[in-house]
Amino acid sequence: MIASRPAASGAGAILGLALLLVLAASVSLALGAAQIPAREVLGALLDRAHPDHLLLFEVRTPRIALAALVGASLALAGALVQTSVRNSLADPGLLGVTSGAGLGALVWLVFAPTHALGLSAAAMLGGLAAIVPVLALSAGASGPGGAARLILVGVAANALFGSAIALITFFFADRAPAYVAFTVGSLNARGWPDVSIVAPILVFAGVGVALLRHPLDALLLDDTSARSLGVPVRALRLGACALAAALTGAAVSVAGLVGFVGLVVPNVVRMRVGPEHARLLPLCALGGALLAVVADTIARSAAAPLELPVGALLACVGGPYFLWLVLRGHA
Amino acid sequence: MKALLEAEGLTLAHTRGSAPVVRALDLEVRPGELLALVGPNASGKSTTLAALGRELRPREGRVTLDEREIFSLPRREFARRVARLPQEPVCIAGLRVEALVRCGRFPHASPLRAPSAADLLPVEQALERTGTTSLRARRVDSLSGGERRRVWIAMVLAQDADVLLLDEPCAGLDLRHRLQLLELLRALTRERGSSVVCAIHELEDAARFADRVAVLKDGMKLASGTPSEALTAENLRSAFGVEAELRWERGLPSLRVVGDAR
Repeated sequence: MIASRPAASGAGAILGLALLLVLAASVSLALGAAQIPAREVLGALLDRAHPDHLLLFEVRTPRIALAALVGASLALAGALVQTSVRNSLADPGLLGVTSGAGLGALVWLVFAPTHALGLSAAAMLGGLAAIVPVLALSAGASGPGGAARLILVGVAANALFGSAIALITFFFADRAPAYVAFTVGSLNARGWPDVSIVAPILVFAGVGVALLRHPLDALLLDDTSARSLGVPVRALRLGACALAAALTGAAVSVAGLVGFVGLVVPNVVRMRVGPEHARLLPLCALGGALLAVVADTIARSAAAPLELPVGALLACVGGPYFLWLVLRGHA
Repeated sequence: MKALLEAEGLTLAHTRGSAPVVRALDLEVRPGELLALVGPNASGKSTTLAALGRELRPREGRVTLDEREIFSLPRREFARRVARLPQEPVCIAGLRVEALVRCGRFPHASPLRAPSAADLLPVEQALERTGTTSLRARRVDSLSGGERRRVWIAMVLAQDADVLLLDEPCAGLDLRHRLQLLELLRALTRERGSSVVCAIHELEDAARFADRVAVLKDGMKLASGTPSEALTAENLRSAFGVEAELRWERGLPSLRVVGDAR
């Protein structure tokens, strides 16, 4: 039997994670290709005349903010998808939602002028289209063999979107380089304009998530029981999936194909505080932000001046973790 | 007495094309009574409960609550008045008992607000009445079968509904907990005036605790009435295919099964 410790207090955990996030962001400001002594960071950030001000304010700060926003979005999306299909192995990346969003972004990059807002919208639409088969299958995803079915659908969706992506990059090779950079999953050369796209979407989706946090708990029961409690199960699930697609699309449109945040973070948080959403969701957002900030800091400082692709870095952690979840029968 | 929940001419099938599993069933649930649905396997007990609980749309006929067609009621309002426990409810791994029982308050609390202390009082009462208070911090998936059944019953009690539809609530319970649960259900009908409809396999339990019994066979109602009216030797032979007799000694029923009738 798994030890049933009393659920950790939500407020304390939220405060702790928030402090850790601030700490990680501060450390991240000082690290990078150009080292800035820790005690000068704050001064340089506030003093426009400081030689490092531009680097800190125009390059590192928006990048850290973006990493936090992307991580929070992906972790929330993961938690929402996992609740919708009632299976903790689900993840926007594994189910093909991320590559659907990637396909949407690619279509925009190739066929339409590269206006960033349109790119986000296209990525969100792609994610939304990809989530349809997930929804169709969600009813049976908790039953026997549900995990296997879920993963098979993910394989099929990823193969389908992958082939569409390959064909488009083949036929429009001249316009593809932008996309190749995109597939790696990186926050390189992102600035305030990107923040101004993702932040409002995350805030908007965050409000939706906050409003749904109590009703979503009904999806932790089987459909019949949830319906008998007067919960509009299908509409609620659709809403949760739409929010997940919007969050994934926004994240993908600025950070490219970053995976596994949506799998790792909600599972770790759920193990600590249980599956109830009022606690789970805020902690997922903070945990996702923390993981992404740490990963991006490592990506740009570990081999500086070379930049490691953060998507690959996260997959290094996420892949083995996923295997461990499967082996342990956590589905 | 006027019926609270009433089924008229109910014909039910699981999918559009399939043969009906319940045919032309009339059933009334009166205020404050414990009604037992008995019958052999596949006689339509669960299907009938699903239709009474708005989970299944009748192919023909209708179900009314206080003379209003149940599908015309807002779903939350219906859930405040009628609670239903399926035969094998499941919840996600890791959910704790208290959180599960709290789900019973969904139809009452505002969906957008955290439940208030007043909202949660019935949760405490439900835990207490089912003897599961000490399990409240446990994970539901770490409980034994009998404990799990009791916490789900607590969830349904927390819903505080006028009608409880329970599909074999005693399955998997040991003798003592079965007795306690049936006594609890009867107490609910006496103290709160709740109506309880139970699909039940143990005929002695049905006879002892139910106010009325409806005997189903092949999706049709064979008989209904007080336990002694409904559970006659003839009806038992016809419904279950056994020679059996219900005897009463000092108010306690016992079933003597002689053998296969065929």
